Amino acid sequence: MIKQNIQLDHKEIKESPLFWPAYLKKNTLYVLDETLIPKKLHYIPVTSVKEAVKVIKDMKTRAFGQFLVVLNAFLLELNNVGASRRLAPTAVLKRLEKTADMLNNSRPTFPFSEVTGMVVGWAKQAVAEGIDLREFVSKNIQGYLMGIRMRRLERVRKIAATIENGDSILTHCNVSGELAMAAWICKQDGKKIHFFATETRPYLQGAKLTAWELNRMGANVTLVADNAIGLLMADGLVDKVIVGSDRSCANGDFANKIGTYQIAVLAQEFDIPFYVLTQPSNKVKTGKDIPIEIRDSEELLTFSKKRIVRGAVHGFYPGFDVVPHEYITRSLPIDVR
Amino acid sequence: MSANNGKKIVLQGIFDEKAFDRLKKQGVKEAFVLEGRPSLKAAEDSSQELLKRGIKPVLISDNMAGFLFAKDMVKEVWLSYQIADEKGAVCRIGSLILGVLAKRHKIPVNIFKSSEKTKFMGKPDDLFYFRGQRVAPSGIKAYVPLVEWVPQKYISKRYE
Repeated sequence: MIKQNIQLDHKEIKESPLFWPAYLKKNTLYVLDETLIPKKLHYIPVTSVKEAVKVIKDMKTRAFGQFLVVLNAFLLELNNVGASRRLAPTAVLKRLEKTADMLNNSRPTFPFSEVTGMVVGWAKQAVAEGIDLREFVSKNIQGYLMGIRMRRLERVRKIAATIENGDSILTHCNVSGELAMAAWICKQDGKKIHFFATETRPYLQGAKLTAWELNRMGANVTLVADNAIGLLMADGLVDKVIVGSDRSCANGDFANKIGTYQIAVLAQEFDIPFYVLTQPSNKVKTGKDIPIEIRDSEELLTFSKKRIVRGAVHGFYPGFDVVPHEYITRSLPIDVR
Repeated sequence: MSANNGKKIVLQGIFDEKAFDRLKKQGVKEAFVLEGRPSLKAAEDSSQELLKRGIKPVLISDNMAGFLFAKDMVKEVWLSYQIADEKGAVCRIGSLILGVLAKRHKIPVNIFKSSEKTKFMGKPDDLFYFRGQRVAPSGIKAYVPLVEWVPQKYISKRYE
């Protein structure tokens, strides 16, 4: 099971399960089923790339969790081909290229190709240099993940430093553990802070995940409907907005869970600082170039397999929106390249 | 449905039948309807009234309005109000978001007298449960305002 406390800068940080929601043990990848939180903590065993693609498509994990699944899917594939050691390096490379294709096509808004391209690049390098492909690629992936983990932990500290005593912070959707862990640090440092978590329809990640993990970390959290943010801001109840991001552009624009754009516009209207956790990338120039996933409207129109409105009502469900860089007060980046 | 479809009116709130008749008279074929959490009554009522008049309701979550504005998919915003004067109006929660977005994107906001009086505050359980199912963890609080003040600077025209 995942280590729950982390030593960094001589201080221990309590870890949220959402901070590192997928881990490989022997030949199985265990993926935290975020759709079951807050009812229970359950990890889905994944043993093939096909199953890895399914957990991504079914949104069993999101954001950073998907990134973890993508990288670990290559380790799974390498383990699976490891059983047939006689496979030529070029044949292993082909399987990794196929793995990359399958993962790249799983969700359009996510820049999986940046990560999968890197892994395939390592495999090509191994073939060209005649070194052990499995060992070289596996070690590179593991080293890369370790580096990401350390940089995310550093960012947790930066988030905690950004939060001041007395702050009331509005957040949206879920920031994969980092905000909750920053809240924990703030509490250890004696800062009295408060969070508003938006519900985040239609999957309610704010209610199910963010409120859950903030509360678990001992933070003071209040749940609000997505449509209450205007009132909160107009009434001076929000000091800062802190959100995550799913994709960043060269010009600083970013895409995040649907609803982030209107929060950014409202924050600017009411002079509230807007902070975003980003993973910088130069692959996409501006937010206009990000393909936005339009999901099946039934996900919006039904809840627990029951329609939420009667009759021939249609739905429209864009999964993400784009926030132009001019709305951002400050980005808190980690470089995953 | 793609983001390239024609611009539509966005409806937020509980409207009098006259507002829907007006839509029909204007030849509106489709309209976006916001869910109106926590009760979803706005979604249900507006959808049924639209369907009765042969207008296609397209439901969106309350957090999707910004996307529509950013993609230039909004023709007008229609809000329902309970009380109004020259300084603004008391509207259902979520109206201020639409007002600010509309101002930013230079889209007109029309307000219509509501057919019902809404309570000012809901109960935490309204958010802790969705369609009867517990969705939030225990040990947290909820803030459930049901109406809000929309200043006149965000309103283009008022209809009784």
